[in-house]
Amino acid sequence: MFVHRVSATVNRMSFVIPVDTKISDIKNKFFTCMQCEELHTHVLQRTYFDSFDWRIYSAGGLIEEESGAGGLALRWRNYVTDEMYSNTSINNTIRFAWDLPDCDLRERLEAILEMRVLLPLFRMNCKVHALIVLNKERKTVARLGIEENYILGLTKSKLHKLPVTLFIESVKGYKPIFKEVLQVIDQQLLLKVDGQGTVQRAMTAIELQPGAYSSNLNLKLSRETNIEVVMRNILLRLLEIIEANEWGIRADLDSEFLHDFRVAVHRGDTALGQIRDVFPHQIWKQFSRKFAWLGEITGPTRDLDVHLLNFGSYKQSLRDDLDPLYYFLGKHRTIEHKKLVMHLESARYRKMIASWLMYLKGPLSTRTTLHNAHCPTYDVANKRIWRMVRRVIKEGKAINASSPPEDLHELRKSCKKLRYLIEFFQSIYPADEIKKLIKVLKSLQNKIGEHQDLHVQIASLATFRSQMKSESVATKRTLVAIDIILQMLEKRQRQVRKIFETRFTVFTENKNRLAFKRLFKPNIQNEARFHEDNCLLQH
Amino acid sequence: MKPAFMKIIACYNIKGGVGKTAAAVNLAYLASCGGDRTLVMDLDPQGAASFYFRVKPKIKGGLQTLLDGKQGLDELIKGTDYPNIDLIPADFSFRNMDLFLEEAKRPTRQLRKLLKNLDDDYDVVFLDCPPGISLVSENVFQAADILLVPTIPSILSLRTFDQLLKFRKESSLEHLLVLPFFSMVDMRKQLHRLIVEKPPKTLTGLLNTAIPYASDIERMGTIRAALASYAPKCRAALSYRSLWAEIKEFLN
Repeated sequence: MFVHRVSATVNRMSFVIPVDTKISDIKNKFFTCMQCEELHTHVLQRTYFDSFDWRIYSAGGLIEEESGAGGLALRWRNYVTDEMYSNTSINNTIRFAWDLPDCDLRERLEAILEMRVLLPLFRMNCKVHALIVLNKERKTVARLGIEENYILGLTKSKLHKLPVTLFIESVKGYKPIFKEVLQVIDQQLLLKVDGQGTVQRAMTAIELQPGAYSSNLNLKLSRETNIEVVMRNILLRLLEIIEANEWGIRADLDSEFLHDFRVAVHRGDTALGQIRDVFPHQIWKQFSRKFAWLGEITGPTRDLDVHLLNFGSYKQSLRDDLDPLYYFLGKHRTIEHKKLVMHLESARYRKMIASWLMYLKGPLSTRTTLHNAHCPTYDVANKRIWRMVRRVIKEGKAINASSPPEDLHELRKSCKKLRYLIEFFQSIYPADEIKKLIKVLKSLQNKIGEHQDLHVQIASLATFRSQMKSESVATKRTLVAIDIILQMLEKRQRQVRKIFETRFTVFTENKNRLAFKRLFKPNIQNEARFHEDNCLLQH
Repeated sequence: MKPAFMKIIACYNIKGGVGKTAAAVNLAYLASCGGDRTLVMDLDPQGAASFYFRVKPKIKGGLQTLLDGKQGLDELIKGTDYPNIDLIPADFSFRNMDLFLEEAKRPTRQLRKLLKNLDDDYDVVFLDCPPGISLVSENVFQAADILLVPTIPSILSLRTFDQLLKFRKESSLEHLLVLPFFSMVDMRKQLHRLIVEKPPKTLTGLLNTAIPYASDIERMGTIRAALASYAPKCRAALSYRSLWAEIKEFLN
């Protein structure tokens, strides 16, 4: 029997009431066994939320919005144990974590949700029959509730009734009473503990699949499979991610839809650029052009998104003086977003996706003179990843204190390609070793990425500054504030460059080089081992 | 709106019988209705707040257990009739709190140290303080973020408020936010009317809301519940609501 801890000293347990048991019988049993009082029966509406990529579910919960006679409240609901945390009264529906007032829930959500919007998953109507157990002083010493839940779904479909549940909650300092109530439930009512929880039961009932979307490729490949088959699988999966994010971009829900869309585009571009001689030249050219176009139409909105996401940190130091910049960025983003939506709704885009899908789902080439087309995946992956590892080391080593930012940008691009390649094929390598290498690479990428982002931010902020000046939308104070931000960013860029050097040294440590070699250059190692064995035999 | 960290509000007055307990209980109730995890600490050995919450004014092991900190505070806390309000009940041994505190290492900071342990568990703590100026009060001043002073619009009450301000100055406690408000106001009395309509300048930080002298509040003793739970629309309950709204502004 599990007892769920609601807070440090309050326990909560739920039980499922069989279909043939009447609610009134349950109540009567309590009235005869204990000093109980029935409170009002109230009707609540509960809506459950998560981000598009199930961040809250991955952290063990869902966000529950409850509206009833007591107003509107938001809380964290643990989906297995049904525990509630961080109950917060709100006035309006919350979209982002930052819309919440300063509170425990905000603190918890900001770390998990980041920039993601909360999207409704399903709604339930809940009728709660509340009872309290009293002591001699007529003080509440335990709480009981019988809940009848009906799932509404997001469409106006028929109500779906869930099994009725009974929950019991202890009151701090009155643990013995909790045990007495448990005894009544166990021995008199013979109810079974609810091991599933209402939220999970509701999700099963409406066939809601948690984690249905992920921006990860999650491909299970085999080493011997023909690379053309694998390439088609990779590109199909990327197409799936692109299509999954379209609606969020169009509806402008949050900046992450566009981010995931662009990452899928870049991944596709890398797959085509790095694994050549698989598709006929004509098809390869078509795909490359498509990726380039998608990168081009999504770039301006993403650049402005990055500025707006960073705006909080700018504003912390310079408060109201930066408001005109915020409006300026917002205005330009609206324009760029409109253009982007037009592109996504264009016949060109629709045709492109359709033809892409048709080709990838079409028959494999039987006769081909292309060099790689029929090679096993393992061989192609090894060759390409190893080559990219060497390129990253070479480019990184060539960077010194006087290297221009462009050199770091080139290194960043190489690192990204290496990362994407490893991610495409990670399922054909030992998971632990791949994880370690991705971690080291990620740590290096973070710093090069930050350096490059700062470089772009500085350049674009300087452009915005002159644009604002020419459009006369900035006061002198605002221009000075932008100058201060520029100085701050330049200072940070210098710091990041120093950290990059340390990270690169770690990346090129002997143990990492050997690990890369062991995984992606196995032939050389086997040959060396063979050579060593031969030498030993000769001696 | 919930505060970011646990806030401690002490209902305090040098003078007794001014409505401290009623304020602590009713404001705690309103805080809890807004979703704040609320704790009431009944520091008054008379145990009136404990009585209102139907909890026996008794702590196992008495004051020593409370201040020792060896037994977790959690063990002493009692849930109340309201899901979001917990209580540390009073104990008759609290009458000797001064003596206990005197023997401690940093005698004026014991309460603050004790409550710091609950920082993650509650959003707001209400201290229902005993009257008088003593080592207990000094502990309250050190621990509290806001000193809420119910003040009857009478000469003696105003005099004690001046004494409090003087004490705050002498003890270098200027950082302590002192918020007086008129309590037990009976507008049929000329003096009450005069003072409420034209409050003396010495009442710095005076809140706008005045709590009326009302039989509904007195009924708290027979019903043993927070006013807004049994008479949410009466004049006094609405006054407490508006008082809480004013205090929340300071918390934010």
